[in-house]
Amino acid sequence: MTPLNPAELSAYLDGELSETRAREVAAMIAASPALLDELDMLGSRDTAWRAAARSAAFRPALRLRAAGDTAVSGKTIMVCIALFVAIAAVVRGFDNLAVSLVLNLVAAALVSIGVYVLARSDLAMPRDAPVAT
Amino acid sequence: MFSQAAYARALDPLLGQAAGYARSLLRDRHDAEDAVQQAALRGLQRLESYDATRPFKGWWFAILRHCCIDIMRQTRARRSEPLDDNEPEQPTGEPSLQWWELDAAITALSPAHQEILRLRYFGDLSYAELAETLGVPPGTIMSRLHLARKALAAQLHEDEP
Repeated sequence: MTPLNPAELSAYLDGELSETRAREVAAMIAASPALLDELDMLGSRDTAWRAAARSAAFRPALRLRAAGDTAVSGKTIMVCIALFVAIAAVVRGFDNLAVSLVLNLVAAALVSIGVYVLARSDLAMPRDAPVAT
Repeated sequence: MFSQAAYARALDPLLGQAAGYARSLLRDRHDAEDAVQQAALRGLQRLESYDATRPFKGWWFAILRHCCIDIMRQTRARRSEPLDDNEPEQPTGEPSLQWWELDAAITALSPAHQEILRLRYFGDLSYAELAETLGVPPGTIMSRLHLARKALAAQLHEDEP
């Protein structure tokens, strides 16, 4: 069995040794009260440091959209086209020019609002998930 | 190829720790949030360079680390100023080590030790992820982390009254 490297005790604590080496180190620890005390001390420190560091974590507000992206998905485009076609079909039923013009303007406004609302929801990060610890 | 949706899903559970790591480096909550935002976008732009066989967290924290360094260069003067004043109130009961006390002790160490300790404790990176982020062989991480921990313990012991 290879003699214990001091760094291996920390790695054993971290669960980062290979299975074989972890078994060997565990046997050495079991045979040495001094090693066991040192492991306990390392474990206590590590626990305190982890707890302190964890308290710095917080959930940031993010928007995950790369610069230059149109942020408009295929779904958004299909919905807007369907909306426009539906309104255009209704408008064609009116002979009055003024009414047709108003309805066309309403259709354009609805499509614009739809694009804006759907585009903002594309790729948005969830904001209220709990902080991972 | 890693999709944008898969990227968002992989990134989401890391955000809290990422913000904590950035906060320990930048000592300002808003700068930390900016760094995480920049890293999230930069990672999205560089998705094609990500090798899915390697640890995602290590790859992304390397990007975050560079974003933090960029912000530090821009706001270098702020490092000497007191911490932001939005710290939570001290809980009553037994005193325990606070994150800014841990960070102050880490700051007194060598740059190499600071780096690995912040990534390990504030970022909660595994050895494989540390190797990926720092660009060093995995075997180097074990000895470097061990020495860094010894130095930190000595520093904290010195800080005790």
